[in-house]
Amino acid sequence: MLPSVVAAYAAEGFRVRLGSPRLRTSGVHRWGHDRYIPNFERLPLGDWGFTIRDFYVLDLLHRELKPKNALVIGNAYGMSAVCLAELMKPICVDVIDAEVLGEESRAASDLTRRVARRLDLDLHLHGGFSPQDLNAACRFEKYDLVFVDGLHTNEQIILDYKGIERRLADRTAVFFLHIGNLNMDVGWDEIKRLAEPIGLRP
Amino acid sequence: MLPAVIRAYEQEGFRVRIGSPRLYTSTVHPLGAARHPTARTGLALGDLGFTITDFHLFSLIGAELRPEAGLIIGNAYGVSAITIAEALRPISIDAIDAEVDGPESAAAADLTRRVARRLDLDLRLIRGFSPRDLPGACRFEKYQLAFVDGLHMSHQIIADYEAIAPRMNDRAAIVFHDVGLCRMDEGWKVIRERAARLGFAAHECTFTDYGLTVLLRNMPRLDEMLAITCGGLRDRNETYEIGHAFFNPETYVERPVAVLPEGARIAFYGAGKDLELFRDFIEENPDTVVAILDDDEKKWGGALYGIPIVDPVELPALCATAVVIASRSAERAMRTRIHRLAPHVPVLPAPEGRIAELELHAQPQPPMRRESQQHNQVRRESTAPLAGRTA
Repeated sequence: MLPSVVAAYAAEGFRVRLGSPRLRTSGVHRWGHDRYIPNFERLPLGDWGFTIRDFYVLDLLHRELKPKNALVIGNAYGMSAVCLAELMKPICVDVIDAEVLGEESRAASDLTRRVARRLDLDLHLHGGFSPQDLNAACRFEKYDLVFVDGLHTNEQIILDYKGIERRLADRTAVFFLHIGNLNMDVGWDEIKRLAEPIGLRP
Repeated sequence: MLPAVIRAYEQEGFRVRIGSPRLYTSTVHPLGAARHPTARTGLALGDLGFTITDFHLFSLIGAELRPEAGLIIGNAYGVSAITIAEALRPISIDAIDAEVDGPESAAAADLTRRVARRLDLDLRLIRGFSPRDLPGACRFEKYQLAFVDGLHMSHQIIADYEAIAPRMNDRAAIVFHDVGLCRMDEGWKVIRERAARLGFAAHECTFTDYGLTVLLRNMPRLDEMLAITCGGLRDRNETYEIGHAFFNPETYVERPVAVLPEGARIAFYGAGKDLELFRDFIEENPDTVVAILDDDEKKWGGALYGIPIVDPVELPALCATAVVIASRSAERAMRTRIHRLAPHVPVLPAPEGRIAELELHAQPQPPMRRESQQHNQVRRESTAPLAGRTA
């Protein structure tokens, strides 16, 4: 999404794709491993990533909110966390990822850390589960921005929301990825119900 | 795209829609008159607008280029011009729009001006045709940014490019809208070849909804990013379409590309007053124009602009590579006669008022729906021989 981010991934040997009208998925791939995703094939970790439209929402949030810190749940190859951190510099970003895909997940986390170092980002990535390991992942009491992109189930996003609710600053935004795409409508409805009494507007 | 822009349109009584994965079209229409374009209702002037992915491209350009002056060809309801001006403040924007859609165009231009005033933008919009009226639209000698979004035809974007290229700064970006969607591949191909000679790097922004293309000069960061992230417009059989709810662009076919190949032999049909429109072209290309056909036998044996006037039955013997119809009133009859006499010779239709462009390009017609398989065949045959270098 940002030239500096794309260049940093390229310097680490990875190619960022931005998607297209025919292939909406944006992704991160090792150079020379460019691939098209046929229907029904399992998406690898680097696919189905952060898109320009997602970036656009963050851009709008940044223009109005100017957040000083952010919490990201779910990382994969780190595009969203890195883009967020680069766009909103000098923001401090805490990230938690369960690394459930074993070696590939750990390699993706390491890649994220290397890219963050290249870009001189204040990004802290912690291996762990949300919500139980959030305490260890969080360097701050309150967050101006939360980005939820972990396990994409109705139950999990409700747990994620409950885990972050007490950590939300007075002026804050919470961004949930893939609600529509992955049919998490039930979870989203419950989150809206929980959020309204504390002044969050869905 | 930007809250301030959406609010300003809202205050003027218009709603900006920013599209969705199912219906990409971003639109502007009066509040309370929201509509989804369908195959039945067709697109209105406010439809098919500036999208989030377009906005993203301009944001990236703005971040690296910090342009002080921008030139925009084509305005409609002004969302692109307004958004660019707002996002890239304190840029000065000059915009030109032909307002060919009558009162709606004029109203849309007025709306643009009112919104610009609300937002205190330095945006000047004039009515006129590109490239003919471009000098009157330009307040600056040089521009860092240009956005070509006028008539979506290959010949037109070439003409637009030729007019704006000399006005571009050493460090500059030129963006072409809808190249993928409107199949302006031939025009883009010509432009990127010519622009390379001026030091521009060409990119096809496959991440955009409608297949934007961009020329960059001395913008290494964005140049590198687009080289890494974007493929070609057709590399993966991309189908730039206006959402699933609207027509398939397969049903549209572009008229012949009006660039003349080397060795072209052009005959004009009609020695009447409409031929005057082509006078500059004829006088500048005496070796290319081989004859003027006319049905009036009294004119046979004469000449106009140094070109002999002959009986149309001589067309097969002329070895013409194309016939340009120089009559707006008798186009259909002339076209029929040409097909009867020399069915293999492509026909360029009569001009529709944009005379100045004929100095360089014969005038094709706007895109139209395919009428039949037979028609498609004729169209494909007629297009092929004309693609190539501009005379």
